[in-house]
Amino acid sequence: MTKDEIEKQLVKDFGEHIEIQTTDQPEPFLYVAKEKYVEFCKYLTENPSLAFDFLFQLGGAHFVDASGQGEKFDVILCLASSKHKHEMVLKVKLPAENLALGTVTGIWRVADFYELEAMELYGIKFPDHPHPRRLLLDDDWDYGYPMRKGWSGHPDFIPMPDKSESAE
Amino acid sequence: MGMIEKAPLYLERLPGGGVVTTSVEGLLNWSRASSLWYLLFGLACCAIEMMATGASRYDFDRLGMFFRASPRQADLMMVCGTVTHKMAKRIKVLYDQMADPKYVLAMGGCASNGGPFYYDSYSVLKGIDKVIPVDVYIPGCPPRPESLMEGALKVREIIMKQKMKDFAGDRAMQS
Amino acid sequence: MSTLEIEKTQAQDEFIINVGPQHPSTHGVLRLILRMKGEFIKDLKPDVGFLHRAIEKIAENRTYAQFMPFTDRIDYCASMPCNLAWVTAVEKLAKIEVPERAQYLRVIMTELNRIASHLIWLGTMSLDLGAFTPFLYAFRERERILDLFEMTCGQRLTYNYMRIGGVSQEPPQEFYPKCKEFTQYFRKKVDDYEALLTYNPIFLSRTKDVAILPIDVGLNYGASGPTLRASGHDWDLRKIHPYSSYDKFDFKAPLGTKGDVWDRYIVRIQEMRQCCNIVDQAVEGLPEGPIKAKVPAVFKPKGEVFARIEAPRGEMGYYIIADGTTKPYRVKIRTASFAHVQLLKYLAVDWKIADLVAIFGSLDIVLPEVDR
Repeated sequence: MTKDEIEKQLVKDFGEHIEIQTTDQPEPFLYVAKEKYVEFCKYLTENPSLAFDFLFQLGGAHFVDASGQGEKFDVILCLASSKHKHEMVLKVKLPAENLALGTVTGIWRVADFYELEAMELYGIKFPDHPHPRRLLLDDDWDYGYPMRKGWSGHPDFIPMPDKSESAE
Repeated sequence: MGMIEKAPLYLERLPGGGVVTTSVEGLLNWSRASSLWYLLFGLACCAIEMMATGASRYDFDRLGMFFRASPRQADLMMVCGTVTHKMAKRIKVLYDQMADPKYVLAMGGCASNGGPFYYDSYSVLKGIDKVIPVDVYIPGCPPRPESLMEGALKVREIIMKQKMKDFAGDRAMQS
Repeated sequence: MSTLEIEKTQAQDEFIINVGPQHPSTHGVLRLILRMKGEFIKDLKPDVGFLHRAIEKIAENRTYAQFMPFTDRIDYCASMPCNLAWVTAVEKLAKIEVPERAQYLRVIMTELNRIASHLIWLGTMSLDLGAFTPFLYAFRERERILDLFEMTCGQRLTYNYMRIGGVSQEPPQEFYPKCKEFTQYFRKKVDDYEALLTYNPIFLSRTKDVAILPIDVGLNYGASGPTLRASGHDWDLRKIHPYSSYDKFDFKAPLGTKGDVWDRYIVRIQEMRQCCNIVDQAVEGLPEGPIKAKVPAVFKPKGEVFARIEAPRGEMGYYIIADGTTKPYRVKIRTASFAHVQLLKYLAVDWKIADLVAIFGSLDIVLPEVDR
């Protein structure tokens, strides 16, 4: 299915809960509402004309505006279909006050470690994750969520010294 | 090395005793340097170059160096690759398990001082010498097998210059 | 050192074993915690993160060109495909047309590196199963490939050869005849390796029908590359979504039938032969032209992109969020081994601990891909 066909089908079935992001890329990029996220993912795998059975990756992202305020988090999923050879990007917006999101480990088992990584590096919570634990960081890591913008909590973290633009 | 520990303390006081200790030292150092067994301990990219150095074209076996999987059977630890904080604790445990006399060779930029991961990395330990004492540093990312051979030969030079009284009584002195 | 709660489900006659980060068979710093009942594995938990170098954080503070050496170090056994994944993603973002000569050169380097990566896999897997000779043979062949790379870009392991819009330098004139010489020589050597291992009774008894992976389970666990092709799923990104002129070459993506350890072994052996075919065709048909496209000196793309390629271990891809400055805002790296390490529990449970070594070897996991 082409990008337009996929977008049309998704809008037909889930119209008010998704928001298509216009890009110049050949894959559809869209946002889904947080509450309908797990249901939408199930629909994507079960619908025979979409059949997104391959979760390529799941990751977090942290957005702050220029003054360092207005925090937003995104969870970004890249999906592919092994039957129909199409791909898409699904995103969920999370407000900074409530970083909890449903887990999709029941739908794609590979999401297990991806969600653990997002929990550890961004602080995004997945309350029904089957076994939350530390994955990549040290056992006694106590210095916050390192992938967030503006983080610099660890004593051994040496940021690159600022060079002027003309030197690049 | 029980008798050898005490020998230098007594022999050197006798007239002409220095000659005996020097030749015994020479023999012991030569035998240790010709048969340095290294710990099979690759962390990252430099490990592949270490494996290539131990393989067909550049052969470590001609220097008498052969890999051992257990730290108790090795006397040279080649730290090949980036050391993270999580791994540094385990490296200390491995180092403590090796029997004296032991040597450490920091291979590559990452083991020497953090390498390309010096800036902006929150989990990399900037150099293995923050945790264990290092004898030889080899720069490179990754160093060529020839550099690694040169580093191993430098360890041999260090061994050949060691004196028996460096080891004399060290076990007795340690708690 | 925690046991990650595996002891909570321990029964009376079971015990916990730690296959620690320093182990000859873990191919890097991976820690596996096993709950064993006698010789049989009942549960397995991988403890990763011993090589977590924060490459994604570093990416946010380097320009697109400055990040290239870090992509080499994500999978050091196969640096050229890692470079290729990054330049493919950035060129897709900024809509840069790469000249054809550069595309062919990229294909030659990537396929040679695929052979080198499979040779490391072959050497280490045979070493784990107890065969020392294939290790020495594989590294001897690999040295010839490294000579070719050294002739081109000066480095043996982490090349930093590709640039955004092309490649960094033209290989010297003697590179092309030496490539042909190598592929002719190498095809005979693959027959040697097959003679040593493929129908060897010991190898067969250790690998035939061990740890079968069904296709739907593999897809659900994110398996890709030779690991999934061994189960019979015909999926090779070089054929399905061709990138960098792969559609101009005639090659097969070898498929297995059952998905056991032996199939995963034989698929990679046959892939090495197919790589020789691709290299030959690329060297024959190399077009004239520039090796770099015109890219602005101060490169500031904007937008988001998702791109993936077929690396030797599986599918590797990038998701880049670019905000119009010289440095990317967010880079998410997807590697094949991160998914395969989760597959280890499904495959190894109810096999013996000696089979764990064969299963782990057949998945071809490298730790920097898992930890980044």
